[in-house]
Parts: sequence; C-alpha cells; structure tokens
Amino acid sequence: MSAPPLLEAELLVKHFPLSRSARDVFAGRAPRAIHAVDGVSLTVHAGETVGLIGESGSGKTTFGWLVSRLHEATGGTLRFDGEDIGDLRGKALRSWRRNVQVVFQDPVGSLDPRLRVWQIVSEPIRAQGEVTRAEAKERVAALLPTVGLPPDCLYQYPHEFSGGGRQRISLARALSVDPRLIVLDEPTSALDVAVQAQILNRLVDLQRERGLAYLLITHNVAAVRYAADIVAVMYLGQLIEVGPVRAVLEQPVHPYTKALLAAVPVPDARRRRMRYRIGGDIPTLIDPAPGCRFAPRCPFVIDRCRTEDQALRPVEGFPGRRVACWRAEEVGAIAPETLLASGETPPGAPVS
Amino acid sequence: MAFTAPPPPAAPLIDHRPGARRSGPLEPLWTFGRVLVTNPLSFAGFVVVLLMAGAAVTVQLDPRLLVPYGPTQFTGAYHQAPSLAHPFGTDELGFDTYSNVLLALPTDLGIGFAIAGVALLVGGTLGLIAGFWDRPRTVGGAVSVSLLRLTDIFLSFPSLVLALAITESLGRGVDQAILAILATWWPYYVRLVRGEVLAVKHQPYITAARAAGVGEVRILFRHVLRNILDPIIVYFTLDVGTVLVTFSTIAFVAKPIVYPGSTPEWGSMIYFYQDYASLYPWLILFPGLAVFVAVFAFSLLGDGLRDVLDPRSRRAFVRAPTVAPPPPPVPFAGAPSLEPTPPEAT
Repeated sequence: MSAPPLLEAELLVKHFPLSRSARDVFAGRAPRAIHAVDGVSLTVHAGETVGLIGESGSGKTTFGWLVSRLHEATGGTLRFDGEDIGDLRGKALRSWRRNVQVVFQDPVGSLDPRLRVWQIVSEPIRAQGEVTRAEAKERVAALLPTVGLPPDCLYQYPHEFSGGGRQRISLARALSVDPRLIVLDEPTSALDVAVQAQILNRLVDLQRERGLAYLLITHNVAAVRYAADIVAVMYLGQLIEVGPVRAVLEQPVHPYTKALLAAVPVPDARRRRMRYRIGGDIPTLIDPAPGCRFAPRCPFVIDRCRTEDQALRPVEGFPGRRVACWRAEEVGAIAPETLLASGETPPGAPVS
Repeated sequence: MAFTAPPPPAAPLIDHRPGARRSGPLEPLWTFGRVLVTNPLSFAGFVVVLLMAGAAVTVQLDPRLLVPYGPTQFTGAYHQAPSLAHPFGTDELGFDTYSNVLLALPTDLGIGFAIAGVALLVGGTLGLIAGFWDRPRTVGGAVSVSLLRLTDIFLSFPSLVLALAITESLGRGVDQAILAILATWWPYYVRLVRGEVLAVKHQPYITAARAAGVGEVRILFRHVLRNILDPIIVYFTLDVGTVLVTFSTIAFVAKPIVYPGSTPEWGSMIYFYQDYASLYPWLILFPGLAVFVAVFAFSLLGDGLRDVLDPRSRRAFVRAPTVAPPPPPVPFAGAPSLEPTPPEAT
C-alpha cells in the first residue's frame, strides 16, 4: 500500500501508576503500575471498520482513549495519516481533534445535561473555529436527519430523549466536524437490542456515505460480525489475534479467542452448548509476569508460554491473520466443536 | 357538523407539553413563574424577599414613606405596648421600635448580601481553581494544595469565635464586623465549590467536550461552572440567611454597632433591649422576628430556586399541573427511536 494508513498505533503502552504509600517509599519498593495497554499495534485504514473486542478490563477503552488522545500514552508511537501525533499539544492537538471524534459508551453521562441539543451537537464545530450561533444551529439542523433525529429538536435537552435518541445526539456531535475516524466506545452496550440494531445500521450507512473509518470497541461479538471488516481481540492489555472479521469469528486461532467465541450464546435450542470453557480468574494487570498473559488459563500451555512473550505473528494457512501464540499452527487446526473443557485437556498434551 | 380533514400530524414527535418548549432568553423566567405558582412556600419566600428588598430600598431612598419616626426620634411615649400608633411599641427612651426595625432593613439585608456575595466570589473563584486544576505534581496541583491547606487553617477555628476575635481587634463599626465575618466565611465557599467541581469534572461529558477540542478554560466555564451553579446558588440564598443570623449574633455579643444610633441593626437592638425581655417583650420580639422572617424567606426562596435551575426537576414542576394529552399515534417511520420519554420515566 502506498498511502499511509489512516491510523497507525505502534506498540502503544499505557501504564497507570499506582500511588505509593509512605511505607512503600521507605521500604524502597519500586513504584507499581497497572498495565492497561501493553504494546498494542493496530492500524486502521480509511473507510474501514476495525472491531476491538475483549472482556471487561482488557484495555479496549483505554486503547480507544489513547488513539483519540484522551489519555497520554506511556510509550509507543501513534501516527495519523503518516504523521506522528503523539506529542501534539495545546492548540495543535485541539485542532487535530477534528479528525478523530469519539462516541462514548454512556449515552446519559456523555451529554451535558445543561445544554440543548444544538449546543451539544455544535460543540466540536464551535471549538474548531469561529462559527456564529445561527450558523451552528443551521448546520446542526442539517445534520440531525442524517442520524435519524428530527431537525426541530434543536432546543430540547438530552434528558428528553430515550437512550437511543441520546446516542444519536452523540453520533451527530461526532459527525459535526466531518471526522475521518470515529472511535465508537461501546456505542450500543447501553441500549436495548432493537435500538442497537438501528444505531448499527445507521453507522454502516454513514460509513458508506462518508467514507468514515470506525474503531468499534465492544464486547458484543454480534455487533462486530455485523459492522466490522477487521477484528482485533484484546486480552489483558495486549492484542492476541487480529484478522478479517469473517475468518476470525469462524475459525479462531488463539485459545482465548476460541473461548471468547464459544461463550457467545447461540440462539438455537437444538444445538449443543460448546463445551470448551476456560477456567481460572483473570490475572492482575499490576506488573504482570513475563510470558503470555493467557498462559495461566490456557489449556494448551507449554513451558515456553510462561517465560517468553510471543508478539503478533502471521500464521500459515490463515491469510491476513496475526496471532500471538507459540502454538498457533497446532491450535488453529483444531475445530472449535472438538474442544474439550479445559480441565479435561492435560496441559502440554499433544493435541490433534 | 361537516366532515373536516383530520389535523395534520404537525411535528408530533417533538413536544406535546404546553410550555415546555418555550425557549429563548425568557425561558428561565417562564419556568420560574410556573414553579412559583405550583409551590406556594417558595412563592411566599419569594414575595417576602421581594417585600423586604423593596422596603429596604424605599427606606434607603426616603425613610418617611414607610417609617413614621427617625432612629433616635423621641415619640413622647415610653414603654408602650404595640398599638396602632406604635405597631411594635416604644422603648424606655421613647424611640419607636417599628421605625427602628424597618430602618435596620437596608443595613441587615445589605450586610447579608455583601458578606455572602463577596465570600461567594472570592471563595468560589478559588474553589473553581483548586478543584479544576488539581493534578498532583503540576503547578495547578501545588496551588490547589496550598489553597486547601489555607482554608483548612481558617476552618480549624470555630468561625463564630474567630469572627468575634477579629471584630474585637478591629474595633467597632459595621465595616469591621463585615470584614471579620468575611474572613471566616470564604473558606466554606472554597470547599463547597471545589467539592462540586470534583464531582462534575470526571463526568463523561467533560471528557466528551475535551474530545471535541474544547479548551480547558472554556470547559471550566461552559460545562463545569454551569453544572455546579444551581447547588451554589441555592447554597448562597440559604447562606444570606445564615449570615444574617451570624451578624446578629456578633452584633449582640461584640457590639460593633452602637444602638440606639443612626444605623439601627436587629442584633444590636436585641442586645440593647435584653434586660427588658420579661417586662416589655415586644422590644426584642420584633427585631428577633425580623431576623427569623428574613432567614426563613431566603431558605424558602432557595428551595424554589433549586427547582427552577435544575432542568430535570424543572420538568417535574412544569408538567405536574398541565396534564399533557397522550402523544398522538405517530405515523412516522423516519426516526423510530425518538420517543419523548414518558412522564413516569423522568
């Protein structure tokens, strides 16, 4: 590809330092940190949707905030349109924000309850340049139908809308400055299913009309299947599998991805529940041990997993796929249906 | 009756509640009126505050319109019980209590507003700064911490005792008493405003504004200040009453104001007449009642204001009296999710 990708994150790291008590300081204990995002590399091309899935606490949202420069990265580089945006500050950062907008998870909390719809939606416009109130109102009125809101609700307050209506306001706000990338941070998780579908449809339509790129952060596999082109699976601050959405969801390679997808309920009463489950708890994110993050819970674990970290790498037989697993080839060959519950698979046993 | 076409479904999705969409610069006034109509207690508070303010202005401009006697004018009647000629009675010097209680209005109300207002401005500004820029290991964080420790020092004294001590050291006079109370009053506003800022500044809509590219100062005023304003205004209104009580207490104990004199004041009146409480109770009853009525009126008004300022509780008020017709069936497929929230959902 000749054109640089729209967004390119390279080994992005975000650590949240834990506060040290006086005892820690005197005892000479090193400062500890929560490794929320630990070396994530991901690219988003113009006009495509990258779905980022993972369980709660896996760092998806933190990654979204890093990408939209709402968090300062601890390390790594972030390029937008080939330009390093990691150290934009002040005015330059604020005017860069027209490129990347965010739709937040909480449709209630992310809209200022004191502002009217037109004020909320026009906020990015007015922050980006001198626009009179009349112009702002006009642009908002023109924008509202594109997200499915009637144009004459300009003067209403957010609390007068349902959850879906509020999320549409949020979406209109994100669209108001014609961004090139929208970070959708769990855009539908607070909504009921019918409304989720409406919002997702609207998002897909908008993408088609405007050539937007989305980073769709969610734990809703169905939403990713429906809307995304690329899916990236995150576990404990690291990407473990990236690939085309169809291929990944139908033939997951990484043991965690397999487990994640096996946990998605299937709306078919006759179909037997998948028996593959992983046991154990999510390890702590505070200064994690070396080796694969999934090793303590992985049914396919070998000694190497506990000591050596495997970065994302291409896997033979799976075009476009990158997986962070030492045994990706072996594990990838197993059909999900034949997997046993983790307790029944002896660790390190040859699998076939 | 001839058949007429059914009315066009003109914007049925928007609003069917009368009054709710009255927007524009006068909208707060409209809601204020509605709240007052539906809430008789706030209405009473509002009326009493208006009456007192009007009386204070009148007395200040031309006392003779409301007040039959001057502050130290002999009436020729001593120790008279309340009567038509002397509604609040007279004292042993022959002064008219009613005149003095009314003449004290501008002093007392002015003091209440001045102290609470300056404390709000000073303390509130410092509280905004201390609350908004408080990240540790930054300049703002250092400023914030020093400010808070300073307020802690002030707050560690019992405020009334501190105010009394300052009054004593500054000497007699209204201005000195005001300064003394101010010195103990502003830290509360720092604490109050900072707390409100802290509660609001981590709201998602603040992050959303940041993501939109809004500058920090603008976020502070447009989002933070606007969202904390109503508890602060309510607190301020209630506080005017508290200041009145405190000032009266200080006037009673530290006697910064000479009574009888050219500027009567309720607390000093009570102090001066305390010895006659059992014989001529009206002498302290009426100045005391004046303090009570003023404080009560401000607190009622404060409660009413809270309802006006909060758009969510405002709706409850606006909607309650006007029973809205159920929304007409909506033959509109364009925006299926935009139902106006049903009344019980708010």
